[in-house]
Amino acid sequence: MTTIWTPELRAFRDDVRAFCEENLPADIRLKVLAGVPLTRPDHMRWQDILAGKGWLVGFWPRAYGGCDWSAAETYVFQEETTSSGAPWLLPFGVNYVGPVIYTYGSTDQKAEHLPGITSNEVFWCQGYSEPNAGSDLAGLKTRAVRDGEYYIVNGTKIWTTMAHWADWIFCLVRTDAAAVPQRGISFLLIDLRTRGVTIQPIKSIEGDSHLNQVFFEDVRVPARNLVGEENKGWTYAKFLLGHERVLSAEVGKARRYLRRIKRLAARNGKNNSPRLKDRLSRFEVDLLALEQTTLRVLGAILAGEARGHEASVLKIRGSAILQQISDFAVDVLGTEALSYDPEWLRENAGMPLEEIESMGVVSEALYTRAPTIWGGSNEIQRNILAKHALGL
Amino acid sequence: MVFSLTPEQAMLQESASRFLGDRYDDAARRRFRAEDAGFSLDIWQEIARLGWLGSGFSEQRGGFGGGPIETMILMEAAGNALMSEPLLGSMVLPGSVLAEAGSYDDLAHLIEGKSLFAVAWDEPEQPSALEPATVAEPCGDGLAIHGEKKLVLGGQIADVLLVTAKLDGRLAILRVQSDVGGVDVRTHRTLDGGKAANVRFDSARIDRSDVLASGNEAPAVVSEMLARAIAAACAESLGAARNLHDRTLDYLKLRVQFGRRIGEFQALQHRMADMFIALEEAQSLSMMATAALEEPNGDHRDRILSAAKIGVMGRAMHIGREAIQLHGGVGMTDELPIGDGYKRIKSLSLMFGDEDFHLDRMNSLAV
Ligand SMILES: Cc1cc2nc3c(=O)[nH]c(=O)nc-3n(C[C@H](O)[C@H](O)[C@H](O)COP(=O)(O)OP(=O)(O)OC[C@H]3O[C@@H](n4cnc5c(N)ncnc54)[C@H](O)[C@@H]3O)c2cc1C
Repeated sequence: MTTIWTPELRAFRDDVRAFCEENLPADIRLKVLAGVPLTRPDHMRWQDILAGKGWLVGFWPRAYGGCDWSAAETYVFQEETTSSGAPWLLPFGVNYVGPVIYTYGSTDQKAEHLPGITSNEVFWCQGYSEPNAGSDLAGLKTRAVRDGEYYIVNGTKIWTTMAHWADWIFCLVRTDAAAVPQRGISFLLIDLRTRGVTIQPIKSIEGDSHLNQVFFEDVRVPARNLVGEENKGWTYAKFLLGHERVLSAEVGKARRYLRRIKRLAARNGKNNSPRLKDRLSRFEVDLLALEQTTLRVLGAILAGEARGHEASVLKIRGSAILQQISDFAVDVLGTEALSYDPEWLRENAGMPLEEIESMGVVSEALYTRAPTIWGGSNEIQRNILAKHALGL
Repeated sequence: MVFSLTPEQAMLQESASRFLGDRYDDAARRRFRAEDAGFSLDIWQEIARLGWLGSGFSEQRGGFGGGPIETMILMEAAGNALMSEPLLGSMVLPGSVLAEAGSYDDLAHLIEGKSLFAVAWDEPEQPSALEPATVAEPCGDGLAIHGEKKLVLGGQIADVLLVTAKLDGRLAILRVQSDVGGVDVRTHRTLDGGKAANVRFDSARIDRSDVLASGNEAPAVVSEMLARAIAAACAESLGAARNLHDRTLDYLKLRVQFGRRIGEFQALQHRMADMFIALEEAQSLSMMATAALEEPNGDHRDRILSAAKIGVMGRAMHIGREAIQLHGGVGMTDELPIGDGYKRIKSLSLMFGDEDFHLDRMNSLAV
């Protein structure tokens, strides 16, 4: 068995840990630990700090402002930051559109868009899903019709996380209605301030409004905002998903949730319950299985031997475990969880941890129903495994 | 287990589902929840006129001759409609207390919808419902109550609170007008989108005649209330689970992805089949709980009720989780009632003893 833990990687882990301890603002950390939904300024403040250190886009090539991190360093960075109570690093610019642009974009596009991501000045969102194209993404209908130096875009995107906070959206649009679905799709960058774009918030079950529906009505998008070639968007979209291979495991976040359960149990006098101890140990077993599998996958990636389907294993297990742990936290709260008011939580987000934590735990548990749905649902991931890993 | 409903029971079931079908949809529920009480007082008056509030009580107790089965029918219908009116908090709990304690005048007021009642029994730090920290002390001719109660269902709007407290070191049930001095009702929102209250008693004064039960009677009244609450919570969860089950089934037949209705994918057919099994079993366990209420209070009955609570809630939660998952993104929205149903089931699963509590009780009463 090979290990990814070189002395350098350990040193890097210690660096990240120390950096978070020194630089993560206490108020943001408190909100994250409590499970309180973050605001745009919360996210931006932390990402500004990372950008200042040069770590916001650490896995990018040096030529584009990154640190050339390996897959292992990228993983360690995510695990350490989330475990320490740092906000989820918004992936839309850094993980999604940035790499697509530096891999497939034109020189002009790189110059126009990459600096805004590395400096954390431009907020991106992801416009893939549509009301009738979710799992079947290739069925998307938003049309982009070429008109001289412009594309005229009509249609709608839905479930667009944080579109109401974003400056730009990267979209998959249909440019050839006659071709087989996957072949008629293009990858287009759209400034959300363009006339004809409307953003409508969607409230989700925890009572917050991170989701949106974005409408495009005769939106004129400069043709230079097409990334790569027309009708090749599907290839770029698949490339983009490949970047998240090991990041959906989220072991660090799950460990943070487990630590919180121990804290809540101690507070409620349940920490000596054998049943609770069993549950926590079982979760730990699940997390070890996930973590060790993730490390093996990383080893394979570093050795150039990864087969590609591993991402589905990690996504299915990572999302399911996170869901079970966050739901269990609500059970540990008991009837305390029944006093829940998302508006109160938003207004009192700055209160001490003990005052807001029970509502935060509930909010987080409700929101955590989503990871098994998004990013290729767990059903779709199982289809991928059955077909590509097992040949069924 | 098969219940053959009497013609009257079948009529009640029929009329409840007709009334809810006519008057209750997602838009109405949203409107009702936004009201001050967290539900519609008009609907409360209407269901009082329809006779719902008295349907679970025998005639000698001022009711309309029914019993636990009638309550089950209504709770299941209310759960299925995801009703926000506090049938559990303002009908089942206080109704049971008033009937068992023999307070028939008050029960008549409850049944007619003239007054709203709530039971303040749960406390922030209290190991057992029979051992409240709240106390009633002699004060002049009457008594003064000190203590703190939490999660008083219906407490946000109750005219009268039925309060458990220690009187001379023994459990007693006291009747307190919610507007007298020394009663501080703090309303809060609840996980299921409704409201409830935390109540503080700071020398709240009552008369000696407001002691509804004491001595050996009081623990029996509280135990009976909790038994009825468990059966009612099971029926309501079952109703809510049926709602989510049915909506999910409809959605699988409607939603098209990859050029097919998603219900054609065998992976989803199996998931739906498992939801169907869970619903059937939950139905059986809910009926078992209701039937147990006819048995004498005791270990056997407690064990059955605990088993039903664990079993129904586990199955209803399974249906709730699957309903969200199989709806995909729309399952996460506040717009669809899937989340409301899920949150209601989760709430009920934590009330009147969570799974740990009932597992402990089953273990301690092991046969
Ligand atoms: C909180 C949240 C945030 C999101 N953020 C974004 C975002 O920022 N940008 C964006 O573009 N999208 C986003 N999404 C959308 C997400 O990617 C889609 O919800 C997801 O792809 C599923 O699509 P759908 O919702 O249309 O469900 P559907 O595809 O309609 O699926 C419904 C159910 O059917 C199942 N199913 C479908 N096809 C099959 C099959 N062949 N075999 C077996 N089961 C199947 C699914 O697994 C699911 O359980 C977000 C979603 C959520 C919930």
